[in-house]
Amino acid sequence: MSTTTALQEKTAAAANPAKIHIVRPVVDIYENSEEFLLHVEMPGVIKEDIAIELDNNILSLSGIRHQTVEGSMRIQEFSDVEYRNSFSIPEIIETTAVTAKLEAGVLHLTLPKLEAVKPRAIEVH
Amino acid sequence: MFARVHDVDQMFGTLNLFRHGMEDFFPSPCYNRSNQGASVASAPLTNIYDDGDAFLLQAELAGVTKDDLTIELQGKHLEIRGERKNTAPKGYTIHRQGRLTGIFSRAYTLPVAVDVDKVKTTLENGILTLILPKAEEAKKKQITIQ
Repeated sequence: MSTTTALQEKTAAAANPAKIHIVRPVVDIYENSEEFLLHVEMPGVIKEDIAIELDNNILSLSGIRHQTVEGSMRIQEFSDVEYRNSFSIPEIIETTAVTAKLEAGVLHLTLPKLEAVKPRAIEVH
Repeated sequence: MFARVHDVDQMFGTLNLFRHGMEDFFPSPCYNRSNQGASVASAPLTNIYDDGDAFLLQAELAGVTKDDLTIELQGKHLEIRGERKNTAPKGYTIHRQGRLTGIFSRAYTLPVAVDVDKVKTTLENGILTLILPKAEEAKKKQITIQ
């Protein structure tokens, strides 16, 4: 998930532009008082081929699926692909605290809100 | 001599039949959540390869765990079904819900029977992989000229 990986992947995709299609992954977005959750489907993508960048409140995601199969193709409904999308995220996100986890082909991003905007209980003195 | 070669071609001509009949054997899944409602999810996209001895089937099943998946195989008939449980976590507001949720199933008719006891399955990174070795009697055999 490092920048190096992202650059390597971009180079690889640029060297082979005809072979990798870019698609927008399907996403679920949830929010509560503490955080936002992004669930991004990237079936077949491994952790090492995912790049996540956060720059000026733009969250950019890229995940590349490389398939290696042997034998003659009988039917093919999916192939190598780059899942790519960008999200404009609200300014109330604690950008340094964003975490990501890849589970069963779904990228789970947690974007916590800044302490200042989280609800607080106020004591009565 | 040439007639015999032609006969052999005819014997393996069934493979071409299979290729032509592809669309019937594997109907394309239809992704359309808005038409079907959130409770009905559609069939997973699938790739099938043939290395001579076995079929390799891969299906896109992001977010599905093996506990939510059932695979049934009888001879040539394979069925994969399960449930995508992509409902909103409790207490969260929904901003966007593009992922499918609910029950899905897909049936496949393979061109030849498969040895059920030798099937291998893995579910990794949202891809279900099945290795389906062909039944012994269905394998292509080399015939020695005597």
